[in-house]
Amino acid sequence: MRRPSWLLLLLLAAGAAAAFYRLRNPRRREMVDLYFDDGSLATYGEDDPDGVSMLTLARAVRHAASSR
Amino acid sequence: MDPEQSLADLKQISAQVDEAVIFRQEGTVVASTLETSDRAAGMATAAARLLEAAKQAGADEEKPVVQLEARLADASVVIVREGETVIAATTAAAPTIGLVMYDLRTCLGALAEPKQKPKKTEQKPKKKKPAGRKEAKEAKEENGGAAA
Repeated sequence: MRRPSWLLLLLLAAGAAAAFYRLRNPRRREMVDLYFDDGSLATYGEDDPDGVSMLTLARAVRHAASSR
Repeated sequence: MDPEQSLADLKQISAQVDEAVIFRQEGTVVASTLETSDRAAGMATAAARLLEAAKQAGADEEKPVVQLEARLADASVVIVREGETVIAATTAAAPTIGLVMYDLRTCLGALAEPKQKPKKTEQKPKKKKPAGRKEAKEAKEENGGAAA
């Protein structure tokens, strides 16, 4: 039986490391939560036109707060 | 409470808040933690526009928006409204949002509290002391002497 090459082992290790890193540091999904006065909540994500416009304005707020 | 003092207290109790600005709903700045008034005005204007967009987005709900959190990749923008007064704050990514909103609402609540006036000290009318025995005796003697 042929032994697996070092290259294959290296690729498998790299894949496992990448998967582990991805699980530990998931990409933060951008979204907006609106809280209404009766305690209800609505969420808008990047897939919603209203969500996109609100996220753009939120970035403007962030930029205005951090720009020097 | 003084708005500047209220924001200073907020920064002291909430380590998650980076910058904050208090403004009227139309965008007039009341107080901010930012170094220059230009930056404060810029942040207030952008936050007012964000709140307006949120109102339009939530128009279907027919309920007023009182709080908002925008989760960005590297930060969050949080807005809390109390009547005509609004506070907007930026935080680091993934803040403890309930705590931040509570702190912002407390900050706005402190503004609404009336200033404590110094208590008026009403001067009570002095009570007349009942005549002492000695004085009563003297009065009696005088009356008695006059009668005799």
